[in-house]
Amino acid sequence: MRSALIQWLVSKCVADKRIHLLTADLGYSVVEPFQAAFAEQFINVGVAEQNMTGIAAGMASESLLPYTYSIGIFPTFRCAEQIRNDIDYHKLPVVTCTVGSGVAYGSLGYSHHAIQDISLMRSLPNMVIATPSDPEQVIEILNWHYDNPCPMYLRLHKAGEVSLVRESGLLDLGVMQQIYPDPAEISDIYTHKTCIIAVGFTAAKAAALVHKYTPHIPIYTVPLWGRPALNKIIDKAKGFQTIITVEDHVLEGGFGSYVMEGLAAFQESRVVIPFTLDSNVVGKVAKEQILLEPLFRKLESTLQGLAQVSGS
Amino acid sequence: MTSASNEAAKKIRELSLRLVHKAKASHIGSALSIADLLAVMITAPDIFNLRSPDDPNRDRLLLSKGHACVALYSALCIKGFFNVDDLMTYGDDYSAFMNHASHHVPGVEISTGALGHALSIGCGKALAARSRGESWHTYVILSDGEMQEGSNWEALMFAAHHLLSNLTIIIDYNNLQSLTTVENTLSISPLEDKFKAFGWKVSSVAGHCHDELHQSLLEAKKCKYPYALIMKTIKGKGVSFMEERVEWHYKSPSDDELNKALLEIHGK
Repeated sequence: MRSALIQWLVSKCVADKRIHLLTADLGYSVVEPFQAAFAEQFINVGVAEQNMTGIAAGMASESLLPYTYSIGIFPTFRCAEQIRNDIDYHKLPVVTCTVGSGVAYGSLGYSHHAIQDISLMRSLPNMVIATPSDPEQVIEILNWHYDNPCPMYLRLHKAGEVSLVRESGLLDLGVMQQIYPDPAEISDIYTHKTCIIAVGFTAAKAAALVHKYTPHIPIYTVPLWGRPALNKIIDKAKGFQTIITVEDHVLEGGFGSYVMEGLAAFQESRVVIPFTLDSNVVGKVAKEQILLEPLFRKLESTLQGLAQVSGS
Repeated sequence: MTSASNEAAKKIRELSLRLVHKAKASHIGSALSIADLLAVMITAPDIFNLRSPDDPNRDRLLLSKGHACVALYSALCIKGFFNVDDLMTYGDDYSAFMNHASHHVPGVEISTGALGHALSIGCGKALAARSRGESWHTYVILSDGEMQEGSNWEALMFAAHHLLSNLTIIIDYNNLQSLTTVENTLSISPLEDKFKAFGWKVSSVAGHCHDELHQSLLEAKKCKYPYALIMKTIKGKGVSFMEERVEWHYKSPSDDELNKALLEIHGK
């Protein structure tokens, strides 16, 4: 996904020199193509996330298009006040790009685990949360933002994400895109009792389980959401009796919480089953697949149960 | 001292006092501390080009010490960007004129209030101007206590590294912060040496002398390096019973205190 980001920036910057890529000294073997092609539009601010974010706000306030880049926690929590006051409050079109969502940097330890970042970013009223599920969706998201400039948090995984067979159509704020089996079997068999909404790169793994056990349950990606999209997301979700959410984030403040809060706020009574990282993942150091194993094991178990219940 | 800047300084002080009195607001000491600076800037187009808040070629002024906003609002009112009636909504419920600098007020570039933000934003603006080959200048006014914020030192390094010659910062060095003096809280001395070590051109100036301010600001604008102007000031300047008194970081004047202060401001 991060390569998709850089490729998009390179291609877009050819014709639009408003685009600037700012990094807080991260992005080795990723950002170089942009740096090589557009040295004037590339700024390594050094290890200084607060300054990077303030600079980006200043540039955006003068009609430039800055993209800040770093590992999950650093350009979010470290500079939360700059994002809140300087970017979000002023509604400036800075894109805060992070890599290593969830526990992608599993063995690097808690300092590098982006498992509460959504909680922080989605509390900001103007911030669009972008959680692409495959590299193509990264491009679609960036194209959408280019046409709809606003504060945006682009939460990327790391590498190796597969391309999904997804619902086509123009991406927009709050639009969920259904994932189909590969090879595609688009049919009208889908139930309207239960749906699954998967955040970011978890969509691929979740979709494989869904298509194996409960192919009649539709599964969606949620590329563009956040407070500005709440009405639209809830409007879609309330069409189902049960909503299962999947994310590489803790429950507190994550997407599942977002859906539950939204339904409650709109006084819509639905069942929400959130599959998240357990809070006891904090402090655990292991490969990502090991840290994510409990999440997908529980999801698999639930789907197996649903497969045996007719009409779910 | 020109008669125009002198009159502007009096007016900024008068309006600032009336605003905090009316709204029962804090921070009058901080506002009076920068009244002379703002008076010089708004009456010297060679230093500060601000004919219209929408002019793309205007110089940008960022008030990092946003708690001193009544001085900035008053200066912009004198510039004619809004009238006194609008200004006097300051402190009213839902007024655009909130008690820290608000970008919803014509002429205020950014909202501030949390310290340690505007210098980084100023760096971004200076970069933007340079990237487009535009000649406007960015000024950032910071407080002395605010220099205890680490983010400012990130930005200072950045501006020097990138040789942002179109950026000037002015430090309101009145040596009083929230609870006591800067020296007793967390010393920032020797500030001039620190700026030099960080690669900035730096000078100190008597912050209530209009001629010195004008001269230094001119030098700053023409300098080929980012420029730090350390402005030695008196918190509460112009009102004897407010000068160098920490309580005027918080208190608002009573009716009697307002009248006494206005008499002093107008030399009566």
